[in-house]
Parts: sequence; structure tokens; C-alpha cells
Amino acid sequence: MKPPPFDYEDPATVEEALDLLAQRGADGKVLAGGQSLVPLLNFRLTRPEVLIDVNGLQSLAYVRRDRGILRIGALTRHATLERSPLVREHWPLLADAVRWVGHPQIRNRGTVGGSAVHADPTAELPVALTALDATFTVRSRRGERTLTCAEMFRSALESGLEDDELLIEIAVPPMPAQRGWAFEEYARRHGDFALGGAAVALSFDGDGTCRDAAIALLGAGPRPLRACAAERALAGERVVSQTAAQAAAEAVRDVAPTGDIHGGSGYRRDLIEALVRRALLAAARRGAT
Amino acid sequence: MRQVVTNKTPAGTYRAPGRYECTLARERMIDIAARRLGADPIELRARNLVRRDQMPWRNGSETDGHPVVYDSGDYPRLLERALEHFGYDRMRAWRAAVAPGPALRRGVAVACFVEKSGIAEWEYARVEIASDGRPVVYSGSASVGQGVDTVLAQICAEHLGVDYDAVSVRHGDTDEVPDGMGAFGSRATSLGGAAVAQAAGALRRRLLELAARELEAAPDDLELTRDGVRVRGEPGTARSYAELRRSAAPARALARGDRPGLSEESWFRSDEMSFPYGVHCVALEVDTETGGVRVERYTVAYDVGRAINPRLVEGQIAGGFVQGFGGALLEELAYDDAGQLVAGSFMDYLLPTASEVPAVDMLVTEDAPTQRSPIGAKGAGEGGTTAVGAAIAGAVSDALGVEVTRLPITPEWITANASAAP
Repeated sequence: MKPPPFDYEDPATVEEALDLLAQRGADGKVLAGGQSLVPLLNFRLTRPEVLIDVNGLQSLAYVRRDRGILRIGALTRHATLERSPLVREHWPLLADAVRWVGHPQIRNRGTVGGSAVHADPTAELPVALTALDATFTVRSRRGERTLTCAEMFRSALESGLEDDELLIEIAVPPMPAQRGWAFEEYARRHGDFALGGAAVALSFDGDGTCRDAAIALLGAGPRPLRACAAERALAGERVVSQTAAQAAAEAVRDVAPTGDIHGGSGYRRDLIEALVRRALLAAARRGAT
Repeated sequence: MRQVVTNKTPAGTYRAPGRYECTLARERMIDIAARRLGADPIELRARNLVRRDQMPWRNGSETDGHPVVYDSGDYPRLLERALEHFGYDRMRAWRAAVAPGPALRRGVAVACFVEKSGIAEWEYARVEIASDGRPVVYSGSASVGQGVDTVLAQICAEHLGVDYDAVSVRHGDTDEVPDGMGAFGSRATSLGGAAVAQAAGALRRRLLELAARELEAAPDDLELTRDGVRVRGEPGTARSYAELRRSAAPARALARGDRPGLSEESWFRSDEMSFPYGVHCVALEVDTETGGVRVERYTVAYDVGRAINPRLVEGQIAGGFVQGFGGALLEELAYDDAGQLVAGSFMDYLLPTASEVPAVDMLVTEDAPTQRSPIGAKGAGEGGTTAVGAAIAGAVSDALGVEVTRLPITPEWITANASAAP
């Protein structure tokens, strides 16, 4: 199908974009890579009056390290993140996660900021960013503020942005030096919305025990979920088959994924449990080397 | 009689219609019987195959009002060749080896089938020498991407006695080709090709007669070459095809009491279908926690009587396999309890893509040409599909120790049944 009619604006600067959002944000949508928005338009699942195309805001396309913190401009394409040596070396969880996003064509076009604002609970980057405790800088004519992951990913397809706000930057704190990480997911076909998944980041003490664990679940609920109880249970433990299995069981204790024809709720829960366990063991193997 | 009104999608034909489904049921029953008997599933199949010396074999059923009689085949030989090509013993050893993860289980299975080809009885072809001297085939078959234009040009070249690349093929325009049945049911080569062979053969005889008169030689002393018809052993004594075409122009032909033009046509007709046959072998690994299936090795062996163009037969098998693979693991018209279709777009009706489809190893054989067509070729369009569901279901059953009896095999079914497995 073709999209319903809409007005089109292509601001040249962030200031112009913020003006447009202040005027028409309530009835409009920001168009970045378009990899989620355009299909939604074509299916007529959304009917914005105006599209504000931010592809001209090249000042928002960057990946850099600043005092140990990874700063990702909102307009950065998935492929840029995927190919960044900086990300591969210092935030390997993010580099692993982004490779699961769609297909190469989608990653060439789709943006990190768009994925975050779209807030799909089965999208890879929100889950990885949740495991990494990323923060989100958003701006409007009213000013600038910073959101945590919990504030950013409010519910399925519902971000924490107000109608007049634009996502500017994603900041990711450094991963520890003694680290292990893994991203696991399963989909019936490569590039489909995953049926379940998990992002894990571990830090280790000198004796090989786990100091801190971060476990984020994909597809477990209406937004990326941190498995806090499981994380606490792993602190001070060696991550081996038994502890990983216990933590995985703990991680899905209270989750109730939404089922559909590709997998019921119980299947998805069991799947996520298995993927958490695998991710923990893979992360522990990496941490040991 | 009870009648039921339904608003579900009506049943229609899909590649290898009926055979995909019944091959699943039959091959699963043989596997289950073998397990209950404590017999080897290959041995049980081999013992029950119709032998070559039993051909033609009437199988007891009828289709389109005709009894089904298998025309030709050496089923035991193809089973043997398929297993060898697949590396059956090696794959059994792979199955017995330790998989690289505690949740992984391995299975191996084989499924045999007889296909059918050449339905809808007749097809039309006309072969002409155009005014520029080039042969042109007009066919009632159509190209649906299977490469039938190439095949028809090859058949024309062979039966006319000219080079393949000199032949052009026209189809699909009813102004040019008034009659035709089309491309479906593995018939374009087996019936359409037979019609081209007959028309090309007739045109060859016309060319030889005409050239014999022009060159004052006996037709048996003539040969067709790339450039025209010449006396064997006397390259200088020749007529080009364009010259022969001019000689067959109405004024000159009618003046000598001859039929004008260089155009021959044929409506090839056969009451009986021909029956290609095949074997699919698969080794796969099932992840009992995700429900994923990874194919380690897949072999399709298919006897098409005569492979006019083996590469195109392989292309047919590859495309057919993809379709069968989708039916085995992905594609399903799913409905909810209210009868509402819930797989209404390609987001939910899952077609296999290049990322999911494994490499397929192919063995195209020509052990049993059909006598029901002058070219010996049986249709090749469906055998890549026919037994995919049966073979994959067999191997998943072998891996889990639980019998698969429906398709598609979903991740949820696998995880649920793996936990029930011994």
C-alpha cells in the first residue's frame, strides 16, 4: 500500500527541527532512517499529518569517545556502529547486538536514534543499551534533559520523549576492563522480530568471580527488562553451568511475554531463559580469556 | 452427508500438489513401521520398491479418467545412488557423534517418491525458417522463469540439425501462437518439447526434400550445417537456409506444384502422463531449547528420464526445494479460534529467504527415459519440492525420538516435544 497523505518538512538545522516540533510535533513524526516508520505508514498503521525529515541534520551523525564515554549521535546509522573499530574494541556488546538488526540494507539506512525512539521491545539496540546503562539526551525549545533507559523505553512503541522533543545523543558508560559479554537471540528467520533474546555484560574480580552482572531481556515484556534479582544473585559467584542456570531461571521468574502464532507466551519465556543461560556462559568464557 | 460452510482460504494447487502431503504421510508411516518392527528404514523401503523388471507398473489408482501406469524407472538403483551421493554412512556417523552443545540433537532421514509430469494431454509447436534463414520456434508453452526457451531451442536444434544458438523461441503472444496449454504440472518440456521435436523433425525433412531437388541429389546424401544444406563431402554444393526459404516462396513453390513456406507445426498429444521419481536425504541438527533446525546436508536425487539441460533441471530442483523447505518449517495459513486468518501478510506468512535455505546437493539421473514422449524427457518441475516435508519431518523425528505428523514443524512444537522425549 501507499502511505496516507502527509506534509513534509526537511529542516537543515537542529534549531529548525526543534521549531517544527514545537509547532507541529503533536501531529507529526520524525523521519530518520524510515526502516520502521515507512512500513507503518505504508500499512496505514500510523497517519501523521507531517513528517519532519531529520536526515539533513548531519551534525547528529557521529560516534566518538569522550572521557571514556561513548557518544552516539542520534542520526548514526546502524552500519556505522557495526563497522566502528572504537565500538568493537570498547563496547563489543553493542557491536555484537547491532549485527542482529534486520539485514545489511536495513542497517545501512536505519539509525541508532530511530531504533531507540521507536522503542520496540524486540529490537536489539534498546536491549543492549539497557544492559549498558545508556542515557539519552533529548532537546526541545523548552530545554534539554537526560533520560535513563527506564525513562526512555516506557512501553511497547512508546518512548519517553514529549511531542516537541528530539533525541540528540546516546551516551554509553565504559564497559569494565575485566569483562565478558554476549548477545543472544532467536528468530524463525534471520532479520525477523526475534522471539526472545538477552544481552549480558559481566565484570570480574581478580579471582574470576563475577563482580557485577547486567542482564537485559529481549521480548520478555512491553519494554527491555533488566533482570535485577538474577544480577544480584550472580555478584560474587563464579558464572558456571549451575549458577548461570539458576540466574536464568530467576531472570524469567516474573516475565510473561506476549504470545502470537510464531510462539506462545510459555515458549517465549522458556526460550529467553535458555538464551540468558547461554549468554551468561558465553560471557563468562570471554571473561576468562 | 454433512455440509459445512467455511470462510477459510479454499484449497488450491501448490507445487507438487497432493504429492507433498501424501509423501509426508506415506514416508512417515514407513519410518514409524520400521521403528516398530525394529527394521532399518532404508532396508524396509528398498524391499518394497517396484523393480525395473516390473515396469510398466499399474499402481491401482486413476487420474483424469485414466489408470495410473508408471512408465519406466529403476527405483532401487536411484535409492542406492542417492545414498551414496548423500554419504549415508558418513552422515549416520555424524549423527552418532557428539553435537557441539547439550541442547542439540541430530537426525538423519530419507524419503522416496514418484512424481508425475505432462498433464493436460497436448501442446502445440510450430517451427519455421524465417526470411533471414534463421529457425524460429513458436511454442504454446510459456516461460515462468524455468528456462523453457533454452530447452525448446536445444530440442529444436537437435531435431532440426542446426546449432542451438541459431534458434530463436517465441511464446506467450496469442497473435503469434494461437494454441497452447501453458506451463504447469511439469509439462512444458515433456509435452511442449515433444511438440517442438516433432515439428522440427518435419521441417528437417522438408528442408532435405527441397534442397535435394535444388541440388539434384538424394536427400540421404545431404546434411544440415550451420549455414545451410549441403551435399555430404562436397562443401561447395550447398544452399543456404535463406536461399531455401526464397525457393519456398509462394510464386516459385506454387509454380512447381509444391507447398509454399518453410513452416511445420505439431499438436503433440499423449493420453498418459510420465512418472519421474526421486529420493531426498537429509541430516539435520535440532536445537531443543530454541526449536531451531539447522540442515547439515541435504541431497535431492531425481530421475527425469532425460535431462535436456541438466543445469536447468538443477535450477528447478533448487527452486522447488525452497518451496518445500518453507512448507516443512515456516509457511502456514494460521487461523485463530474465530476463523480469522492471522498470517495475512508476509510478515507473518513466513517464506524462506536466502538466510534460512541450506545448500542442496543434487544428483540428476537419466536411468529411465519415458517411451511416452519422442524426447524421452519427463517433467522436472516438482521433484525438488515433493519430499522435503517428509524428509525433514523424518529427520526431526529421528533426532527427537518423537514422531512428527504435521507440518510445518514449529520451534514451539520442537521445544514442547523435546522435553517429552526420552
